Amino acid sequence: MDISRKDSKNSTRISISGELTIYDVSAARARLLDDSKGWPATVNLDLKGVTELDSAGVQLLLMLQKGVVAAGGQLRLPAVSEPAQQVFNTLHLGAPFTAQGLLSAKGESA
Amino acid sequence: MNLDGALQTFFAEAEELLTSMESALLRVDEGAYDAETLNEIFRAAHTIKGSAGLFGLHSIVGFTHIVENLLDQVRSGVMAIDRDLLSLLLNCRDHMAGLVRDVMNQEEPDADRMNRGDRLLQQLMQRLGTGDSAEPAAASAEPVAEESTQRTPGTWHLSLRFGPDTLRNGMDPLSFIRFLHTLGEITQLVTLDDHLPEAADYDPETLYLGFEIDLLTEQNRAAIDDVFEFVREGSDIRILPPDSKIEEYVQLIHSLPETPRRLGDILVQSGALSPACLERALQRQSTQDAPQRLGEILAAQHCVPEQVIETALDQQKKVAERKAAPENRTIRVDAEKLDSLINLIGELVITRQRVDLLSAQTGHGALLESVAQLKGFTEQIRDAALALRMVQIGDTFQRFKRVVRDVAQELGKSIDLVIGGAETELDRSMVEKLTDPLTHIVRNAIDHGIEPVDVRRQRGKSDTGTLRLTACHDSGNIVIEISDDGGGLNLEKIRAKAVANGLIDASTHLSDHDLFQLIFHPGLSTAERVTNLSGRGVGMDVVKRNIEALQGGIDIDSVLGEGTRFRIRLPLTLAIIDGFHVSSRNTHFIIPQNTVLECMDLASLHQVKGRACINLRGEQVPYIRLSDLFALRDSERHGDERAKLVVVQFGQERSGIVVDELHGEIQTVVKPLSPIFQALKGIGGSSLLGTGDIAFILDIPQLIELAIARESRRIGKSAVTQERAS
Repeated sequence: MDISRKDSKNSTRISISGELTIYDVSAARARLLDDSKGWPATVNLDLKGVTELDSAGVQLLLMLQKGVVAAGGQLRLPAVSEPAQQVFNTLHLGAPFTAQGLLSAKGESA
Repeated sequence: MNLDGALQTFFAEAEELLTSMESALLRVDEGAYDAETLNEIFRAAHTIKGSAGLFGLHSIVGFTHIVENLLDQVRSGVMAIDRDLLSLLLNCRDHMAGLVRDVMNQEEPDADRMNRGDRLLQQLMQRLGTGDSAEPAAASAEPVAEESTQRTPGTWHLSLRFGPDTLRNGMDPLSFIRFLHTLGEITQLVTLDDHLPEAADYDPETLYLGFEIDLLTEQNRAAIDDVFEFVREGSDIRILPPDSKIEEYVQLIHSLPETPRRLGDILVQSGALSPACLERALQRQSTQDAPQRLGEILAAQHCVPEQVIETALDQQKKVAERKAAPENRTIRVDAEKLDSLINLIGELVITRQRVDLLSAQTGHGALLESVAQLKGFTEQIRDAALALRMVQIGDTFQRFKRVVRDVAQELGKSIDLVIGGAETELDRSMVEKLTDPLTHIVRNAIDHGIEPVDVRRQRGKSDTGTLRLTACHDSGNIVIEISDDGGGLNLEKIRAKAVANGLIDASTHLSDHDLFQLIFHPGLSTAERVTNLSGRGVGMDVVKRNIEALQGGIDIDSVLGEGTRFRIRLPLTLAIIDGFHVSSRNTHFIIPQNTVLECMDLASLHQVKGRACINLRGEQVPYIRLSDLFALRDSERHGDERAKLVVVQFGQERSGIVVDELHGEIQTVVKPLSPIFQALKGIGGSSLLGTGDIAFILDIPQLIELAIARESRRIGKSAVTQERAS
C-alpha cells in the first residue's frame, strides 16, 4: 500500500496504490484521514493503482469522504482500478459514493 | 485477522467432513438407511459448500451445489439411494476431495480433474432429471436446473448487521455478499454507513457498515440462513421471506438500530412497502410507548416461521453433539513441534545418564537418591512423549472399507470386512508408510484370495466372503493380520511357477514356509488371470521391502481351499529400537536386533582364501570389518583370534560384520545424525549409552550392499589376475 498526497490551492490529489485491506488500514488511516491542513473544496481520490480492496478499505474511504464532506468539500474519483470498481459494484456504491449514506445522513442531522 | 489461518481451518474441516461423508455413505451401503445418516451426508456437503463460498472457491461451490441438490432430494425421500447412486456419490466425494486438494496445493484443476468433474455433473444431472420424472409430466418440460430445486423464486429481504469484530476475525462482508450472488440475484443492496463514527473514535479494524439486501432466489430459508452460520454470533442477521406481511417489515424497521425513516425509505425503494404503509407505520410508532415497542419485537421473535425454528434447533443439536463427544476432543499440533519435543527429551535422557555416572562417582547418598528419582521421571516423560506420536490404527483400517467395497463391486464379489483391534496404537510415521502395503495385500486378497460366488458355492462356503483386518500388541511389537476365507495359496502352483521362472531348482526341497515366502520374490505371480487390480507379479516384493524398511517382517499362513493369513509384525515406534551392542577398536555400534541371525568366533570359521568371505554351512557369506570400513585405530593390538562375526540379514541378502567385542542386547533411543555425517554410508543414526559413550546405529541394508559390492569387485579382480597368471 502506498499513499501520496499533493496539495494545491483549490484541490488535493490523493493517490492510493497497492492493497487497501484490513492489513493496511491502520497504517493508511494516519495518512488518509490527516485533515490537519483542512480540506479544500475538491479532493480527487485516485484509485487506479489499487490492486485489492476489502470492506475495511471501503470503510476507510467512506471515512475520508465523510471528513471531506463535513468540511464542506467534495470527493471525486477520477480514476478507479478494475478490482476497486468491482467492490464498489458489489456494494452498490456509486462513484463517488456520495449518492448513498452520506447525503441522507446529512439530511437527517439537519 | 489472518485469512491464511482461516483457510487452513477450512482445509482441516473439509477433510474431516469428507471423511465423515465417506463413512456415512459406507454405512448406507451396509444398510444404515436412516434419516440421521442421510442428514450427516447432506450436512457435510452443505457445510463444505458454505465455507468454500466464504473463501470464493467457486470450483468447489459449483460442483458441491449440484451434489447437495441431489442429496437434498435423497434426504427428503424424493429419491432413493441404490448401489449405482451410492457409487456416484462416493465418486463425487472423491472429486470434492480432489478439488479441495487442488486449492490446498494452489494448483489449478488439471484436465483430468475437469473431465471427471464434467462427467460426474452429467451423471448428477441425469439423476436429478429422473428424480423428477415421478412428478407430473409438465415439470419435465422445464430446464433441468430449474427442476432440481422445485421451488419458485421469490424476493427475500436481508438485514445484515455484522458484529464489530467481523473484520478482525478474518471475515469480510464482501465474501458473504459475493456468496449470496451464487444463491440468486441481488436485486437491491444498500450499504449503510450510518454508524461510521467521528474520525477520533474510528478504529479501522472495526466493522461499522451494515447492509440491506433484496435477494431474488429459489432457495429456502435454511440455505440463506446457513450463509451466515459462521458470523451469527455477535451479529444481527435478519431474514424476511418473500411472502412476509407488511407488519413484519414494519417490525423490522423498528427493531433495527438505524432510524425508521432511513430503513423505511430503503424498503419502499425495494417495493416491499408502499409509501402509504410506511407513513402509517411511522405515525403509529410515534404514538406508542417504548414497552409496547419491545413487545412488538418479542412478538416478531415468536412468530418466526417454522423453518427458522427448525434451523435453530438443528444448530442447538449440533452444539450438543459436539459437547457430547468428549472422546473426539483433540488438539492439532504441528508434527515438527512434536519431533522437536521428542528430540529435546532425548537430550534430557542423555544428560540424565551423564549426571547418573557423575553422581555415582561422588558416592553422595542424598544426591544418588535424587538422581534415581530423576531417572524415573525422565523415563516417564520419554514414554509419554513417544506416546504422543501414537495413533490408533482404526482410522487406517476404516479407509479399507472403501477399498473393499470398490474392489469387490468391480469384481462382482460380495465381501464383508471385519475389523478388530482398531484401538491398537502405533507410531504415526509408521501408519503413513503402512497404507500402501496394506492396500496391496487387501486388494490381492479380494482379487485372488476370495473366490467368485459360484466357486464358493461349490466348496460349500457362504456366498459372502470375509476379510479380516485385525491388530494387536505383542511383546513390544504390533501385529497386523489380514486374513480371508478364500481359496488359499496353492503350494504346487507356486513351486511350478518358481521353477519355471528359474527361481528354484526343480529338485530343491523347500518347506511350506519357504515356498510361501517365494511369493514375495519379484516376478512371481500365481494368478492365471491378470486383472487390472493385481496379478502382474509386481507388488508383493515391494510390500515386503516396505515392511522391512520399517524394521518389520511379514509372514504368510495358508491352507488350500480355506484361506490365507498375512501377518505383519512391526516395532511400535522407530524412535526406540531393540539393538545389539557391539564394539570395534573401542568404538560402539548398535545393530538392529531383528536383523541379527547369529554370532560366532571369526577364528572358528572356514574362510575362503584371498577373499573376505566365509563358508557358512555351505553358503558363501561376504563379511565386512567395521575397523576397516570406518578406518578405526586403537593403541591396543587386535588380532583376528578374538574377533567376532555377527551374521545379519535383510530381505534375502546376508552378510557378516566383524567386530572386536559383543556386549549384548540393549534398548536405545534413536537420534538422527547431524547433517555432516549423513553422507556416511552404513550409519543410520546415533544413540547414547549409559556410560555416556556414543554408539552408532548401523544401517544394515546399506552395509550388506557394501559388503556384496566390495566382494564382487574382489572376485572380478582375482578373476582377472588369475587369467593373467595362466
